[in-house]
Amino acid sequence: MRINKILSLSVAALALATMAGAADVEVTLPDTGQSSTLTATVTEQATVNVPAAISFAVSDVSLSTDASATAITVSGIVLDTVTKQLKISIKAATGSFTGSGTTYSAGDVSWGTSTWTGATATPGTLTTSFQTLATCTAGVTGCDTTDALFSLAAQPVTTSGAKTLTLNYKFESIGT
Amino acid sequence: MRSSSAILILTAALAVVPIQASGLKFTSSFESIKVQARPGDVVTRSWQLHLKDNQGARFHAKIEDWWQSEDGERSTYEKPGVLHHSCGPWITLSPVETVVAAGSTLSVQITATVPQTIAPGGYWCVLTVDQLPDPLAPAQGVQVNFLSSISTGIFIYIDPVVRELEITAIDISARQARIMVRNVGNAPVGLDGRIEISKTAEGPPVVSATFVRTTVLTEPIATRSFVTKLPDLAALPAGRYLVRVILDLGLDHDLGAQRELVIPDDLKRTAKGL
Repeated sequence: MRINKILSLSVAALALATMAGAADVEVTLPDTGQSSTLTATVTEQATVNVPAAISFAVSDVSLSTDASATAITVSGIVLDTVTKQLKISIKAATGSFTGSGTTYSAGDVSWGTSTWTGATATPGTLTTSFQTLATCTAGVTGCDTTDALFSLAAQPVTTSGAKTLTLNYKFESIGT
Repeated sequence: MRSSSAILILTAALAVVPIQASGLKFTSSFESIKVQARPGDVVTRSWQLHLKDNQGARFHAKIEDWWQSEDGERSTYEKPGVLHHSCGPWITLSPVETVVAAGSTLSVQITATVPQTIAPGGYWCVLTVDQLPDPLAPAQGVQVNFLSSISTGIFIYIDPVVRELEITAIDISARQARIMVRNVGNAPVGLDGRIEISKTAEGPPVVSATFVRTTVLTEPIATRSFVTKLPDLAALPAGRYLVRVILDLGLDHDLGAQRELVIPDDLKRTAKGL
């Protein structure tokens, strides 16, 4: 066994010597270096910051009332491609505000083309189906507004006190 | 001893009751779940949401059917199974409803059990995670309470999948291009695209623009229009141009269509709605 190995080595040495003597031949040697591949898998994601509520201080029911400033922030947007967009839609959970007597309906709430950064705002009126509020521009890492400009229409409400409506924000970037 | 126990219980109760005094801040996954499966397969994936700041909340997870209007402006969410190609009836979720403490992570496990007998093609539905209202939140004056909802797509493909689109219209006006496509395959198709306007077939484009990524479903609306803004084409020298639309469906080849554009005549026709 040992003899065979020495014999093999001798033959190999002889072959190399003969080749070196004959001509320069370029050979490709296998890469013996060790390496590790580091892979970071980043999922599509975003950080969302929305207020808990907005208030309308209605001092004259015969006039429309603007809400307190409504800041909405979406940051750290990471999507599949730079051409994909994140969309923010809203809908009313019910058709009208709570409260006795004549009260406000969801359709009394509207929003304007507020000053969004990194997004296109779509003005609209609240319904019980999702309506687009804003669409973040493709490729941006964040989009936000300091005031989404919600307004409550004039209504002949008949009782004072608390009247509330729940509004659902939808954040989506669905696609294949 | 008795009153200190009561305080302890009250404190513990408050710790688990979600409080909505301030807004909600969270980081959520928006990654669509895409699965290549065979009939009878059971596939499990997870979805996560992490609450930031000091705000806890209660969430409810559900599966819905989803589609978009032809222009992509409006999304519709319906109970699972409304669409023929809904994967909703195949999905189970765990947990369905849970309280997430401030700074904690909600992880929803999604299990899809593909039926043994199912036609090939693409099936889809969405995971929707809704923030639930706090029943103890006080009502003050006239106010609108905000609740967040996040929807993520679930796409399950059963071979043989046919991803095939037709470009049915290219409308050019002075400042925008509108493309209409129809899905003639058996699965939703995601596409990126661009438009190029050149003076000659071989020459470089004098105008080019990209479209935002779009998904074209197979039902209930198999057509989709998408728009991109263009620089003012009326400012280009008068003459004949070639308009090319190139769509990347993620296949080994692109889909293209071209048409002639005469400036300014065709722009005038578009403006008049001809």
